[in-house]
Amino acid sequence: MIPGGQFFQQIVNGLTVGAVYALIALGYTMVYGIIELINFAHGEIYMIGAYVGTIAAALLLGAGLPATAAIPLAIVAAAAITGLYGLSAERIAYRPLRKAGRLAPLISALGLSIFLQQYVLLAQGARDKVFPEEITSSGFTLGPVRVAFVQVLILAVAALLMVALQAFVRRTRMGRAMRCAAQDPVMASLVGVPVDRVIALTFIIGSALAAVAGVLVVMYYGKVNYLAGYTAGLKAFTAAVLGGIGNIPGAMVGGLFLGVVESLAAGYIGGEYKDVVAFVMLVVVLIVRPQGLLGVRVPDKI
Amino acid sequence: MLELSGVRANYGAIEALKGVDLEVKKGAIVTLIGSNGAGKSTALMAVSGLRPLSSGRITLEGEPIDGLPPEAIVARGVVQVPEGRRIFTRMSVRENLLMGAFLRRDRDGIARDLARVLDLFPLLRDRLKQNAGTLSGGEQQMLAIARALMGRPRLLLLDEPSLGLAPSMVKAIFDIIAEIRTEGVTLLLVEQNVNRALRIADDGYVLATGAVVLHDTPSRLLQNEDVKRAYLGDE
Repeated sequence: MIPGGQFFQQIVNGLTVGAVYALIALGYTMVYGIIELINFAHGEIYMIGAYVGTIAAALLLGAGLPATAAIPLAIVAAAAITGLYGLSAERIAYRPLRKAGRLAPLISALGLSIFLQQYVLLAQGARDKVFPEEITSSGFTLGPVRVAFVQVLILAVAALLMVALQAFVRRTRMGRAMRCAAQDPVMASLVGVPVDRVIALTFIIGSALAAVAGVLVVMYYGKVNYLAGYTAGLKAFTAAVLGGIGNIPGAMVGGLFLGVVESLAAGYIGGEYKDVVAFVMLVVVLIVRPQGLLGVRVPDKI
Repeated sequence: MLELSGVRANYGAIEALKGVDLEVKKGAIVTLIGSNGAGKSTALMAVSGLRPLSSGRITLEGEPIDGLPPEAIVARGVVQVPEGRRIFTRMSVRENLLMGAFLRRDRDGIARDLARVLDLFPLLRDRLKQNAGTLSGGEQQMLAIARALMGRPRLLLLDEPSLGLAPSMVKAIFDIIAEIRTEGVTLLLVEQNVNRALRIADDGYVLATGAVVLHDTPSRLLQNEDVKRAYLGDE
């Protein structure tokens, strides 16, 4: 393969993976922005989204629907059902600990992460869950670069969701309420924002985005298992920190950046080095620019 | 309009309010004075539903409001401008003002009130698109009051509105308080500028270590030897 061709191939692959990281990273960053909690169960939420989407797709295809209808419906179903998982997680594992300092909710998050893993293991078994429709192989070539249709789908869906999320946060009443609650929850209450409901909504949106990422990934790789949330969660968390935790455009940029760097490392150094490069980059960014690529140093609250 | 009876509340581990009785009559300006740590801010936070009571009762026009969530109290027309202004620094001035009207759905009314507060605070008009964090202290205080007015308050709670402001700004703020009263808004004012607060108020309470120690007309409080010594300094 021509070196230039390989370069562009890795960029395309990297953007695909990066778009997925970005979608998951949004959930980390939105939750952190509003309650300063690293939701370590978020990777498992993504994994559950992948399962729900896979099961929904199998049911819909089994019912005779064409793939062009079954797959979008499965994505929507995964987002909705996983959103409810996120809502329940907040109610059960985090809300009771809202006033308990920072350590207790963090431990609760780790516990929830283990619980969700084992729950899926018991309910679905240890074997890989395979996506019912073979779609990875079809695609087209663009000069030396091979692009799978599913990659186009991933990039398109991710771009659409990010634009929609930005519009929601910037332009709508609840979006503004979310930004206020993130800046100063007490003052948000004093203007009448129902802060608890805004927090719940944040969990629902973050979980739904992770679920969509989950379904897209199963379609890309063809399968998922109950441990899939661990690495994906860690990578997406890295992406969120790279971009500046708490910062929504930062999570998007961080995700894409991480995906591309990882992919180039896999192409030029070797696949086994991609995680090394990803986490070395995290360490370097934390040393040189601790607030992240797009983060601003937020002065202490008065 | 607002009545606190036997209100007790904690601030962390200490009991900050030890049975406070206080009444704010409709249309009046009532001022609450006292030294740091006397419980003034805790009292306002208790009214706004952000500090749970351990006992006692808070009623608004006869109906109990203690135990209600903060947004329900705002919805009843009780709006607070807290100490330290707490404007949303990462939002524009305009967005801050619109957040003040968060619970309202009457688009036309909101637009009218936006025009009205900009008439009241012409300084803010040129800065609508500016990030609120770039405003000076005095401008931020004006924005904080304007934001509260966007919620159409019937009772406005003001916590230390003149704290840390230049003398010219202090005068401007008190002029605006007087102006707000003429529009029929009832005010409960916490101030460390005791002299000015008593000169504008209709009724005054002195709070010390979580309890009301004096309740009198402002003119008598201004003559009171204890008040003079403790809060008015040598003038």
